[in-house]
Amino acid sequence: MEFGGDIFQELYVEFMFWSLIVGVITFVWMIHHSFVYRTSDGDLSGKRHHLRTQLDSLRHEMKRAGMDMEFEIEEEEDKRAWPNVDNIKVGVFPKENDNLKLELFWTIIPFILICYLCWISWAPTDAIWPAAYELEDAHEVGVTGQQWFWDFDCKGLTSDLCDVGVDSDTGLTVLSLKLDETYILNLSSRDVLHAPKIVQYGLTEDAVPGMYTTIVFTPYETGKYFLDCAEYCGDNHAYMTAIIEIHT
Amino acid sequence: MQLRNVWTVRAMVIVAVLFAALMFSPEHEARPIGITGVDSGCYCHAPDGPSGAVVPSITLANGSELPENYDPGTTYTLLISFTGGPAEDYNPDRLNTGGFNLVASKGTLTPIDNTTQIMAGELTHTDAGNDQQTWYANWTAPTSGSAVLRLMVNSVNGDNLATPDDSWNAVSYTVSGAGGEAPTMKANGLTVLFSGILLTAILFAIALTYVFYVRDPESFSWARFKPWITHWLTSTDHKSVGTLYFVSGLFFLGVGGILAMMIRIQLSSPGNDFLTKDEYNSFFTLHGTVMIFLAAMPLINGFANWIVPLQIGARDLCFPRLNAMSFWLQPAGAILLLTGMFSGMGADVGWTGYQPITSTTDHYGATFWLGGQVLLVASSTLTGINFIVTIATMRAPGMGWMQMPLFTWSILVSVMMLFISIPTFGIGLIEAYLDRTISTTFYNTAAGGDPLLWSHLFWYFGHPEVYVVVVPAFGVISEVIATSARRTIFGYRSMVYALAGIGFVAFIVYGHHMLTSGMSPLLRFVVMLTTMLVAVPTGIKIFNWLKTMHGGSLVYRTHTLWALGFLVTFTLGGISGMFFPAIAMDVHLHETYFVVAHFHYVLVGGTLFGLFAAFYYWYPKITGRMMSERLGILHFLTAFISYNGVFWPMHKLGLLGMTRRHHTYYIRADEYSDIIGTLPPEAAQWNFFITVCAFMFFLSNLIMVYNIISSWLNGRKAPADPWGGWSFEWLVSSPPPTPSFAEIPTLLNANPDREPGRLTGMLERIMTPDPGDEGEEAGH
Repeated sequence: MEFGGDIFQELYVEFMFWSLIVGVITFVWMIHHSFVYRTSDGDLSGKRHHLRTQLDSLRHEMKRAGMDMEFEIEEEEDKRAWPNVDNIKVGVFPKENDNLKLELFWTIIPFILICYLCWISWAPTDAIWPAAYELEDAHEVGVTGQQWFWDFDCKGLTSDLCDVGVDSDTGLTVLSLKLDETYILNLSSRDVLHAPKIVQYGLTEDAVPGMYTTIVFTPYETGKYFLDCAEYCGDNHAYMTAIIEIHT
Repeated sequence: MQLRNVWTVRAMVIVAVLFAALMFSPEHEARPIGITGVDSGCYCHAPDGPSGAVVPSITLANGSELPENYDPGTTYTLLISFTGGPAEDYNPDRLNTGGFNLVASKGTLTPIDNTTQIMAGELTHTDAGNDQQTWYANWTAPTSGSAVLRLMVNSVNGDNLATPDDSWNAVSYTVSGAGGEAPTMKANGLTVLFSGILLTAILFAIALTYVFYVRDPESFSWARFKPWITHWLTSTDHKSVGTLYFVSGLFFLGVGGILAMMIRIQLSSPGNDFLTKDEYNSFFTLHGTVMIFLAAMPLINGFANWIVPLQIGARDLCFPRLNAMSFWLQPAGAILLLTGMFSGMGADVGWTGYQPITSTTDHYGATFWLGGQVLLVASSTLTGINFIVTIATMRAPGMGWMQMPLFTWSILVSVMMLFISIPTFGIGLIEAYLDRTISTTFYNTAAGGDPLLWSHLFWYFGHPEVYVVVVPAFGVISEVIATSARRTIFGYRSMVYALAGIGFVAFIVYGHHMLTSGMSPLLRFVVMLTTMLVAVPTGIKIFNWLKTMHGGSLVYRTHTLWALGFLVTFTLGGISGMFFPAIAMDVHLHETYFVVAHFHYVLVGGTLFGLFAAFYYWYPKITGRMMSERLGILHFLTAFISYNGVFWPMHKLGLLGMTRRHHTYYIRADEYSDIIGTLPPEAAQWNFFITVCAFMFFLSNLIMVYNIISSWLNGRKAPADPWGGWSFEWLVSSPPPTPSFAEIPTLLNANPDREPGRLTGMLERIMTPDPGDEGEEAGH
């Protein structure tokens, strides 16, 4: 089983595919324009521009002083001047640069892509939080977080279905569950927010004091899995770990 | 009465009020957290401090002293015991007479009977071992280094009540490595942090003094210094306040960076103990808070203050004194925030401050943290009022709404979002503050409160907040790309609508921060949809920027490079952000380093890079000097490359399952080898690589600081319009005089007149000042 579990990997591959497409389009476009539309000139601290800006300031000063003289300087064609296709001038709101068709194009196409991504994300969401009728055969197990350890409560299930023990190698608490059985983990906390995260399966939910939240867990591969705390809860937040062991 | 006496009396009254407030403020006792929530029959770690009557000790099982030097790898059987205290005043048959907690900094502790157990990596007693004063356990010596054994004991009076009549004490033993190795010098995390901050502050003060001196070597006298400092302390001119924001923002950017370096040193290797857990937790809290509230927002405010009045052709903001107050609330808030840290018990709650831990943590710095942020909320709210009114009413003639420069538009949208969302945060903060000080129960479940209330209040602010910091960067990039390419920005109207769209949608997506907090599936879906939709206006903006370059003539200056760098990193950050709304992926990625990577890509790669571009773009205007292009390009290359080296691998670490906000991490080895879901060895290598790159990124930004100072003193004089921009700030000289405009200019329009739309027409009728009032608004 790949990291994050099956549901995650399927979506991840699809999203990565579209991300690559969007990313490639954007970056190729950017790199292309950065090269093709560059200019080696445009030394605006050079003499010509300096004169031009002094001229603009002079014009404004004269206007303020009430002198209404209009004058133009003959501007020769200077091939080395920085091209000013939109005739940008200080104090003048520049000429419109617009193309409605293009704008609609890159509004509608991303919108369609996003609707599609939303659509494909819907079903996996339902799989993670199944409807009540799909959970009639599920077994309830209590998981309570407390600073700074996990408390598992098998609630009268047989020890084949659910068992709590201690791992001899590491000293961590072990919750043993059975393969292919559906479990509803009822999460709560005795003090602050915690969040059990079964890392490999990519499942987590906050354990909130004063209420019950749920993780629906149907293990589909045997092994010992790492569970850690994924909501900051104080000093030993990093050390609040346990093991979920799935057996046949 | 003379004016001077009035001011003295007022000052004394204020001091007296403050003194009275301090005297009568509620007290908050802190005590080290012991075992919570378990009905233990003992008042663990009673609040009165350690009791001298209780004498803990660790010896070898045969009663002899611990050896000075251990034999590497041998197992010693320890005898853990205590004498004295309430346990001995009663019949030893009583229950719950004693408890202990033993931590070994090196080597392994193992229980040898059912009276002790390992809990959360520390050796403590079990239920069965609750009724005694002596315990045995094994300690296996490490192969090298000094081991510190720290023992805390409880002497319980056995009346089975959790009362303060129980006593506690603690003791430490050091057992050195073979050969009488002296205990290794261990750098104390807090000491390193404060040394770093102090060093920054001293260098900063030296730089300021040097600049002051160089400007006029004759001026090192009180007669010249006093007006200079008075000007800076009391100015209400938007340019001075803007500069104050810059200086404060850059200083705290450095402080936040030092905090980040501490975090990265701690995370550079697995199982590291450079920072204690407390220190690590408070450092990441303060890193987030300082960076967002004391660095990013002030720097944005600095540009808003400097540039917006210039761009709209106003002489100042509408409420200049309010503006100055907004600024001065910031250092006040900063002092409160950092005081918690200086005490050693800084807030350890994350910048998100989730409940109930924020109300129950024994770190009293959390109270300061909450109080300081209330001041910052006030500062932001006032800024919001100021800018909205200024932009609505003080635009120059000829500048309708649809003729404003895009930077001004971005500031308007940003402060509108801020103004609407931040008071909510203030409410949450005040509730938490009351919870901590006078025991209200807003977030206390046992009394009917709800911790999720904070989550809603915080994220209703928190999500628009992150757009508040990134939207001005959008404005800067629009200006920089358009000017660098010497073209009008493509699609001005859609850029405005996209900004407005982002501003609106920001408020309906905040639930995506709470996707794993027990939401109903329907709400989860709605949040997923709206969050994905926000990519549409953002995408429009990115494509418009790219199209702006089309047909232009790009000149590569440092600000251009930063704008292009922004396009790269912000696009990557936006794309990685798209993975989270797909909720089935969110459950795997939540609270992992994938999240850290995403938000640093948009916050640093977005906001900070936008601010860098703004620095290089507007520096000539603000200071009247050109910055060194060579240093600028050097800064860009080193910073951009090392930045990607820091945050790109974090995507990988997140996918591997490395959880964030963890004091340390362990890689799969030895006894963990068959547990699936632990980190592979490459995670350690990536973390080390990230730390090295983080140091490079930190140092590279010092190039910009040096550039700012040296260009200010020696840079080439800047013309009014060095880059060829069109907006009004390029009309005035560099630096602008005060007042900036002797006569308010009129904006001309290269486009033929078009009939304003109905909405615009309505707004313009309400908002445009009458022609007669132009010259008089500013400077109330």
